[in-house]
Amino acid sequence: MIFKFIHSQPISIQLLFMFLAIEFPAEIVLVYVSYYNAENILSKELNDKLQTTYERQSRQITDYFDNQINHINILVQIPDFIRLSRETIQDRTIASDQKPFDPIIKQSFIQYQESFKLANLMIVSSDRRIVFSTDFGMNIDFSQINSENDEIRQLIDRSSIMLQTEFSDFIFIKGRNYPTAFVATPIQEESGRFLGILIAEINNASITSIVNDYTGLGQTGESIILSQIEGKIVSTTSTRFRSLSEDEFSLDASKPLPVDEALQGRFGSGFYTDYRGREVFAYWNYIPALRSALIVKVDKSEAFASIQNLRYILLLIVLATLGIVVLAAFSAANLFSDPIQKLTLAARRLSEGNLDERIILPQRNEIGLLKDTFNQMAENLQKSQKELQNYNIILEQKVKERTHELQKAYNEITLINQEVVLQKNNLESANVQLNNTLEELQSTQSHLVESEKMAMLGQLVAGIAHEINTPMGAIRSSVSNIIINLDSIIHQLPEFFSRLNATEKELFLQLMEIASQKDMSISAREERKYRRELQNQLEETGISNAMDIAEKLVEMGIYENMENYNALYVSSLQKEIFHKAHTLSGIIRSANTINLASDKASKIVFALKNYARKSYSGEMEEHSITQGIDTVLTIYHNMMKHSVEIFKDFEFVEPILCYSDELNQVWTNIIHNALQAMEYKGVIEISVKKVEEKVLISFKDSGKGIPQQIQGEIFKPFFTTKPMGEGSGLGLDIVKKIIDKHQGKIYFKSEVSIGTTFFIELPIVSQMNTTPIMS
Amino acid sequence: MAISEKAVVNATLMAIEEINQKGGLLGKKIVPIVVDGKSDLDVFAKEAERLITQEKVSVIFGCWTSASRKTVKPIFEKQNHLLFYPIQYEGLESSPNIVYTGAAPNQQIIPATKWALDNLGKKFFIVGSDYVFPRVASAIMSDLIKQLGGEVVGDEYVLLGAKEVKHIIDKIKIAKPDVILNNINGDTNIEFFRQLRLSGISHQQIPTISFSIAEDELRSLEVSQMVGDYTAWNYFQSIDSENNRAFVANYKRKYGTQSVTDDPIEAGYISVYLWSKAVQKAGTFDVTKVRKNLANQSFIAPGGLVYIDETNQHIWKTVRIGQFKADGQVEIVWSSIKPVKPLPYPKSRKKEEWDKFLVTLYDRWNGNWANSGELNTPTK
Repeated sequence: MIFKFIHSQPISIQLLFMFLAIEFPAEIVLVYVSYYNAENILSKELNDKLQTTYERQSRQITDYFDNQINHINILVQIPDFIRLSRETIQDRTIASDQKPFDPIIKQSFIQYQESFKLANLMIVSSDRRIVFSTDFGMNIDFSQINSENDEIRQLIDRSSIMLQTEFSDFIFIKGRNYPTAFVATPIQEESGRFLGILIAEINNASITSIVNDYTGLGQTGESIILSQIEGKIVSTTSTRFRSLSEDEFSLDASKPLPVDEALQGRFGSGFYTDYRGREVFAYWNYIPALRSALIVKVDKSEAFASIQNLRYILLLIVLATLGIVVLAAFSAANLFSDPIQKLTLAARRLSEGNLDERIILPQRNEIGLLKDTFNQMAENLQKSQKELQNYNIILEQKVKERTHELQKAYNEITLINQEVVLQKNNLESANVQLNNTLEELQSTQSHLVESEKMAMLGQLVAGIAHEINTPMGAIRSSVSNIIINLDSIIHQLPEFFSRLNATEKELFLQLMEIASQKDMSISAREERKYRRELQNQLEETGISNAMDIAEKLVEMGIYENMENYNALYVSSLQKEIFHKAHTLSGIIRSANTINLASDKASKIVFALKNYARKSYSGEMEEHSITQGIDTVLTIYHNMMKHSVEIFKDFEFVEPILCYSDELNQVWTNIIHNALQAMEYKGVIEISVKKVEEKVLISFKDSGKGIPQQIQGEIFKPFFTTKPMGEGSGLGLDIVKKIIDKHQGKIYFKSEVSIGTTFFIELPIVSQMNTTPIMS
Repeated sequence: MAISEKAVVNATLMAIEEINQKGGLLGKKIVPIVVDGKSDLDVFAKEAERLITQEKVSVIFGCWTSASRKTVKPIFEKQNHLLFYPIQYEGLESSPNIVYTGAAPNQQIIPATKWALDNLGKKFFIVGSDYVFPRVASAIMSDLIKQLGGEVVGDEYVLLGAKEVKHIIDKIKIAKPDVILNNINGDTNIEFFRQLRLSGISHQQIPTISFSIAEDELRSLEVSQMVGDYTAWNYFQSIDSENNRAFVANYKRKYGTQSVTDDPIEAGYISVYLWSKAVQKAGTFDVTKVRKNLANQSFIAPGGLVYIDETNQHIWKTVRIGQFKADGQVEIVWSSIKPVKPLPYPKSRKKEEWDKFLVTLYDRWNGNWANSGELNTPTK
């Protein structure tokens, strides 16, 4: 915008802008920096100056009050003054209040008052009555002080209890047209005896003379002592601008008043608007003895006058510089713009067609050269114009021809374009349909995948139920054995043991010990063999009841070292001993059976849990391949235990990062297919090996093999060789997808009627970022 | 005494929490470190030194007895550090490294004694625990009483924490004073008042003015035995002002409705605020710079305006005398109405005389500020 504006201006204005652009920023920066520096220095100087004045004033006033304390303390130690006070107090205590004062005593007090520069001196008796005043009968109404004035009464009370010099607040009393304060101090005899109180009025004129010292405060500065009297803030002396007791107030009530601040005991400095409505810079503090505020202030306009002057000077400099720049810009402009204007005029005429135009100028510099060039150009133009006119005619003809051709071509292209647009639309709608179909197919596929998993699980559940039911049956019958045996024997045991002698007891316990460790794997045939041998052995030694004993011992699992129990064979309680031993060991055997059966059941449940296990994080976890395969084998145990032999060749392979539940589905599918291919009879060899950075897993079955012609089809979805309803045809498709997701490989080799081997390779170290397809 | 000291810790922590809640100090949160002096002067000394040199704290608020303050004073002076001491005390001290936020003698001992002379009688019996505060307080009181034409008819001491006071009660019965001035500190007070009442002396017969029993201590005493007796402080929970009502309410909200506020608690609270103002003025936590900005700092405290006197680093406070009521509170019977200038050295003796008096006590107790009991009995 601005450039556009400048470009459209005459050269003189442009030059002015250029000059300003060069000069003005530098000037502004310079002026600002010097102003900023000067203001800082001035402000600091001013602040220091005012602070010094404030400290001096503050010190003077503090000193004044300290001096008052000192004066009055010296006064009450002068023996003659003590004597005068004692006599006055005694006199007034005895005599009536109306009795006129001894003029000599009164004169003495007035002399003390004058030499100690106090205003109005009063003596208070120890019973707190004002018994004398140098001002009696003159101005002050003392009946009021004695009876009503709280501040004086409090002062007397405070000084006589504190026994130290105390000040009153500033107050208005009758007879004074200005606020006044009092100082009180106890009068004590040399022995310390308490006579009464001396009260002196603080000399307002003295305070005024200190406060009205405007040294260092210029034309507008002043110090004021402010006190809160009857809820109003009052100046205790005349101020520089108003007579006594003007209220000090701020026009801007929203800002905190330094007066309030100071009266709350705080000191500080800053700007505020004073009672004249002027903005002032002030320091303030608190005078604790009088509960008053001291404010030292100066008008901002005066304080900052030097800064204001500086501002004017700088503004003047800026304006003067600007004037010079403008002048320079215009005279420079004249130097250039005169010849340029002539050139411009000539050029305009030339452009209007006056090709005879020529310029005459005195300059021999760049402008002179420009003039020569212009004249030459005008010459050339004249020449060229004629040639151009000729060309023009030929060109016009050619243009007409070309235009016609172009129009034709354009029409054709428009037609073709319309067709293309039409086809493109058709394609787009077809594409949308295809996308929809694809989405539908994808959702159908994931349903199918899930149902495939459920179908396989359904087939397994029946077998697993049987697997669990068998140990449950064993447990149930063992428990019932235990109950019956225990029931029949338990109440006889104490009495039975009491009848056994020591040897019998020990041997009996040995029998129980061995019986509890019975090897359950001994077959029935072997047992029969042992029983016969034992029976013969016992009969040879002439033991009665040999057959019964032999049967029981063998059932208890005792086959060796029979001679150890000789003492029992011949015992009078032989029959009972072996009966009881047999029954008790029966209980132990039942317990062992329960143990084995529950181990078996929990193994199955554990496998099932492992199988169904799913990573809820949806991320890969470290998992053992061989453990996964074992889990699947455990679940299939029921289908394989009769006619299928499993050979496992597992090398140690460390757990790999994988989706373990998905891999379980792979093993299930492959083993299930193998079992179906070999109709649940034959051999399955499973090997797990570590080959370089891969795990190679192979499943070799002795099934009927895959015919050559369908070998290319088996990993395709919905391909199945099984009857309708038995397989979805998705099994190996899913297997392939899972292996792909693990960045592994699956392949197989198969020969009809010999069998099929599936090979799976899984990388051991790999970080894959795919998400599970089934979650 | 540990219970009383705990309350001062609570008040100090409350002020710190208030300041922290309002955004802290110089943009930082104040972190209090609380250590226990365990009523053991050596522990006070060790912990003070540790806080200054190892924890590098900005300021320390604490000490209860004058004995503990006098023990740590040389440490603060050697390290040029800063202590706020919140308990009324005997005076005769002014250290540039200590701000005394409790009463100076002219803000408690002297006015209470004078008031008693004017209002209660001329014959005084003084009792106290045998350490520096009661000894000096008694000297100040005796000077004053004698000057003003009164009479001290007894002046007796028991070891800090002693339980046996019967012999003193017997002496009081014989001396028949008009007033008892009680400088006993701590649990001995329980036995003292029990025995006093047992011997048949009621407050109407001989009133007592206690100088170390505030509302908090009163809770561990039998209030019924105390009703009608007097106490002198700068602050009472019963002060009727908006500022104080808010303070009491906040304290009770924080430490339970059963808790009470009293003078040392208020002084502990004031101390933190006065320190924070000096820190703000100094614009730094640097101890030396903060100390230079202590003079003339003020705070509108629950008991009225307080102001650090630039000449002696004690504070301008309002003096109050009160009478115990049955509800454990105090009814104010006299007040100076406005804050009075603190004067740590009473005028009855010269400064040198007071200093000599202190040295005598210190020597008598074998270089301690309290009679540890190793000397046979409290000496007169």
